[in-house]
This record gives sequence, structure tokens and C-alpha cells, in this order.
Amino acid sequence: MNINKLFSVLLIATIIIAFLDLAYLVFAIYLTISVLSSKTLLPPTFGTISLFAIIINILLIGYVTFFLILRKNK
Amino acid sequence: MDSHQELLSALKLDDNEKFSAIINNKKGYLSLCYGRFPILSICYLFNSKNIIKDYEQQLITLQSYTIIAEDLELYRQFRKIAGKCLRLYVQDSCIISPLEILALLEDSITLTEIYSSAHKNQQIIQNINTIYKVNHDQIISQSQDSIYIKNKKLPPFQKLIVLTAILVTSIMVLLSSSLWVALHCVLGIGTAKSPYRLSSESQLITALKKGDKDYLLTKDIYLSADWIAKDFSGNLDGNNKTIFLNGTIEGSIINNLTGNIQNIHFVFLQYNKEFSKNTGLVVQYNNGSISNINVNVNGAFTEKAEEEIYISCLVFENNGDITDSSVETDITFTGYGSDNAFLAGLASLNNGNIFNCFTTKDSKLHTDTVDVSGIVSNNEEDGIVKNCTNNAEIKQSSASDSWLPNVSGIVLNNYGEVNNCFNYGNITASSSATQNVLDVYVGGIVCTNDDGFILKSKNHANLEAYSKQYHIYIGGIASVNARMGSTINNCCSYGDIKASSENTTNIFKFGGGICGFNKGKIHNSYSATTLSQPQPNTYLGGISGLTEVIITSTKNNYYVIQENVYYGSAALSRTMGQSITIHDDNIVSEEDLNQGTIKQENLEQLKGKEVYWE
Repeated sequence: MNINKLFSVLLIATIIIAFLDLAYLVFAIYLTISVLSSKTLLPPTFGTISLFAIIINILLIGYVTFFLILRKNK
Repeated sequence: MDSHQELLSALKLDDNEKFSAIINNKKGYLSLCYGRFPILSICYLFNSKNIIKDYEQQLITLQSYTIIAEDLELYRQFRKIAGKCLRLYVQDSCIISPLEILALLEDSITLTEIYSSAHKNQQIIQNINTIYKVNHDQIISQSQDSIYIKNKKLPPFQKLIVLTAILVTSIMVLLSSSLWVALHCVLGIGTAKSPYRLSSESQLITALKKGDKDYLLTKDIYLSADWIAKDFSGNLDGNNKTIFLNGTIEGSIINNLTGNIQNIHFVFLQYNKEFSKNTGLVVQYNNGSISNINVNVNGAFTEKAEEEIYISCLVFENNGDITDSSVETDITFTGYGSDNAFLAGLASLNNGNIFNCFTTKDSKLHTDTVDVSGIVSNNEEDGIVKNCTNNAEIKQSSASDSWLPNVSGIVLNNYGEVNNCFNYGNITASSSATQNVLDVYVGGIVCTNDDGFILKSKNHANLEAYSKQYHIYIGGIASVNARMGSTINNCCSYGDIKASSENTTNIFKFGGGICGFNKGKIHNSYSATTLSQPQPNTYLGGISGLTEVIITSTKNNYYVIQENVYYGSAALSRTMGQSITIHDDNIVSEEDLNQGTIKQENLEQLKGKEVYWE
């Protein structure tokens, strides 16, 4: 695949994941404040959402690595 | 088509079979050069992998070529990749070597691999340098045997994006995983291994509303919000913390418990409440497990029900297990007097197991027209009350003409099994009724043993009954052993029993070391109780005050002889419908009155008998 196309994919993925991360951060901060101020309990979905956040970020790291290796071998 | 064109066609199409056939037939064709393009250069240009694989090693070392006419398509293909370096090859006489084609294609890996074995001259080396510098913005270094191509730098924008992606993802992976682990460890996720940690009222309410996870109290909590009891199927471990309640809760804290609650102190502060329906202060229906729960209730209760009502400090109806729990009470309960009302320390109705529970010392349960017991009101057929102790002072004082007081230390009405239970709390019942024929019933362990079993239980407290006008039945273990199947086995009683009345002529007062009125079985039991305050028509027996002559079974019972107590049973009766015919020692034989009972001169003598236990 053309290296420029790969980069375009990387660019779009980075932007999308950055927005998702931002949303996760806002959610996590709000939740942490709520829980630490003893207002509520930690929802069970928080673990799933955190896991999802970790997975998509790891996938992006993997893609960046793939892109750099491909770039180096050109 | 001539063989040169066929060979070129095979090169462009990567037809290795055809290429091999031509090469094998035509010697010297491997050194053909189509204008400026040697065969290997054409292979790289058209990415002819199969031919490269088989012939690269032979072609790479060629130093001289047989030049034939250049193909226009070759030039066009070359022009596409040459870019700014096209100017290096404007002379028709120059040869575009395979190394240069690889450099133009930016195939640095292949170039590095074949560099040492490939033929090259100064011009080729210089061109490769130029190609990398001009076309790829890379500086390379070359010697005769090797080439070093430094990794190409990322353009600034790509570099920015790549760095941003790496930074953001690394931070996020670290942050989200650490946050998850931290919150998981600190706050819990509701599993048995990591229960939710509850440290506030709102968290406790959320837990009680959700009710299906594992929870752990980490602080004492004041529950002051309005609350309607919900079902709870989770596990709530109080961690020996305290939940304080100030009376804003209607009814119970939990409606139907199918899970487990344990290790919690409940403190009901100044709990002055009106009750109009059956209520267990902590749990309404227990179908799960309650363990190590301590309930502290301090207040004045008032009955507002016109129908029968049961109130308990812990559970209204127990169908599960209650173990190792206790109540500490200072309760005065004023009844409405229109229908039956009951107060119990732990459970109103028991169909399950109540083990190792007790009321604490200095506890008080004081009522008027409310029948009261230390542990359970009704122990049903399947109910087992075992290893329980009452230490509370229990007192019922009724002035109602429509009320007959029933009081006991452990169970009020027993249809099930009471085993290894102890009463250490003094019990008093009094009735000043003057209008209706209403009796007073007092039992140290059970008030009415109705086809139930009382096994190896002990009363060690003082029992007292007063009736202004009517009959009294008072016994160290049971007030009335009510049916043929009602069984008292291996029980004992100490303490004092008093029965008194202002009416000394028209009523009977029956007191027994074990039982006030026995219609069932009393076996292997003994009494060291002192029975005092004799008045006319007072029947005090070592074992029972009154015994039903036909249906009872009394075997192997012992009592310590004392003043005013002459027989094992003070009187015999024959129930005729609702009326009872009394046969006292004037008309029945001493043998009949002592049937199944044996006098002992003192406690020391009794201690030598096999029925004795401490």
C-alpha cells in the first residue's frame, strides 16, 4: 500500500482515537470525582470502557509501529 | 516478433518459463542491454520477481552488455520513477545500472543486499549518491564493498502526527489502566474479591437499591434519608461498622433478603415509632442469610393497628438463617388492644434457623397489651431456634379487660424446635383485668409449647406473674405444654417463680418448676426452682403445676423438695370441653401426683443424677 495512504489512515485514526480518549478522560474524571466524594458507586461498565480505551490505544500504537517499519523499509 | 522482443515481453510480464527458454536457446542473451537498460534493470523496473529470483546472481555481476535498440515503453516506465534525476541519463550512451534503478525505486534493502556483489564504477556510485540526495533527501555513504543508507527522515507533519499518536496512546494506556486498577482496588467493583466500598449514605442507598452485588462498609453511616425497603440479593458485609437510623425509614431497611448481610451494627436512635403493620426493623422477609448482626434499639413504640400485628427488632419473617446475631433494646411498646400484638427481639415468625443469637444484658422489653418474648414470637413447624440466650428484662403490664398477657424468654408460641436455649432475663407479667376471664401465661423459655420440642434448655431467671382476678400458668421452661405431641426433654430450671393474685377464692394459680400446665411430654428434666408466695388456690409442683391426667407422659424428672412444694405435679386435671376439672391432693393419690417425678433433698443430690447438666 502506498505509504501516503497508510499515513492518511494513521492521521484519521489518531484524530478519532484522540477524541475518544478525550471523552474517556472527561468520563473518568467525572466518575472519579463522584466516587471519591462518596456520591455514587463505581459502575461495572467502567472496567469495560477502560479496557476498550486501552485496546484501541494499543491498536494505534501497533499501527504506528507498522507504519514506521514500513516507512523504514522503503 | 523477433527473439529480442519476445525476451523483453517475457521480462515485462515476469514470464520466467519463456525467459528461461529464450536464454537457454540463445547464448549471450543475458548480457543484452535494451538501449540504456540491462536485463536486470528491466526486471527491477517491472518488478519481475520470478526472473529476479532465478537470475539475479548471474545478472548482477555482468560488466559488459550487448546493446540493442531501446524500447519506448521502457523509457516511459523509467521516466515515471526517475523524477528530477532523469537529467542524469539524457545521453543515449549511458547505461542505467540495476543499482541505480533500485536507488530510484528507493528499494534500500535490496540495494544494500546486492551492493557488494554488483558491478559498479565511479559514475554509478556518484549517480546513486545524487539519486538519494535529490529524489529522497537522504545522505548515503558508499565504499567499493558496502553502502550505508541512513533511515529517511519523516517529513515534519508526519513526524508530528506519529509523535502525537505515540504520546497520546502511551499516556492513555498508562492512565486508563492505572485509573482502572486504582479505582478497582480502592473502591471495588462489586465482586466477592473486590466488593464495592461504601463510605457514605448515598452509596449505601445506591447499594441497597441495586442490591445484587458485593458490598463492604468502610465507615459508620447515618441513614437519614426517606427510605422504602427494597429487595436485596447481594452480599453486604458491614465490616463491623455501624449504620445509624433516626426514624425516617418506614418499615424495614430491606424488604426481601435473598442474599447475605453480615457484621453490621444497626443503631436505631430514639426510635419512637407508630406501627400499623407487621415490621422487622432490619429485614422484613429473610430468605437468605443474616450473620453477626447487632441491633440496638432505643425508643417508644406505639401500636396503631386494629388487626393482628408482629414487630421484631431484626426480622419479621425468617425463612433462611440468622446466626451469631444479637439485639440490645430499651423498648416500651404501647398496644392498641383491639387484636393480638407481638414483640420479639429477633424474629416474629420463624420457619428457618436461628442459631447462636441473644439479647444483651441490660436490655429491656416492656409492653402493655403486646405479648412479648426475647427471641421469637412464633417458631413454626420447620423453625429451629438453637443455642440462643435471652438476657433482656421482659415485662408486660396490662390493664386491659380484653387482654391476656403471654410472656416468655425465648419463644412465645412454639410449633417447631427450641434447642439448647437459655433464659437469664427476669420475666414479669401482670394483668389487672376485672371484666373478662383472661389468664396470665409466663414461661422461662416458651410460653405455649404447641406440638413443639423444647430440648436441653435452661431457665436461670426469676419469673413472676400477677393477676388481679384470673388464672395464672407459670413454668420455668413453659407456661403451657399444650398438646399430646408437645415435648420437653432434658430441660432444667433455676431461679424463683412467683404467682400472686388479689383474687384468692375464685381462681387458680398453677406454677411448676418446668411447666405451668402440662398436657404433653416432660422427660429427663429437673427443677431447682424455688416456688414461693403461696396463696389459697395456688398449685405449685416440682415439675408442673397442673397435669392433664390422660394424655401426658412424664418420665424421669427430678425436683428439689422445698417448702410448699409437695409433689411433682401439684394438681391433676381432666379437660372437659373448655372447662377444666381440678383434682388436687384431696382426691387423688400421692402416687398419681408424683408420677414420672422424683424428689431430691437438695441440689447436691440432684447433681448426681444422669439428667443433670450445667
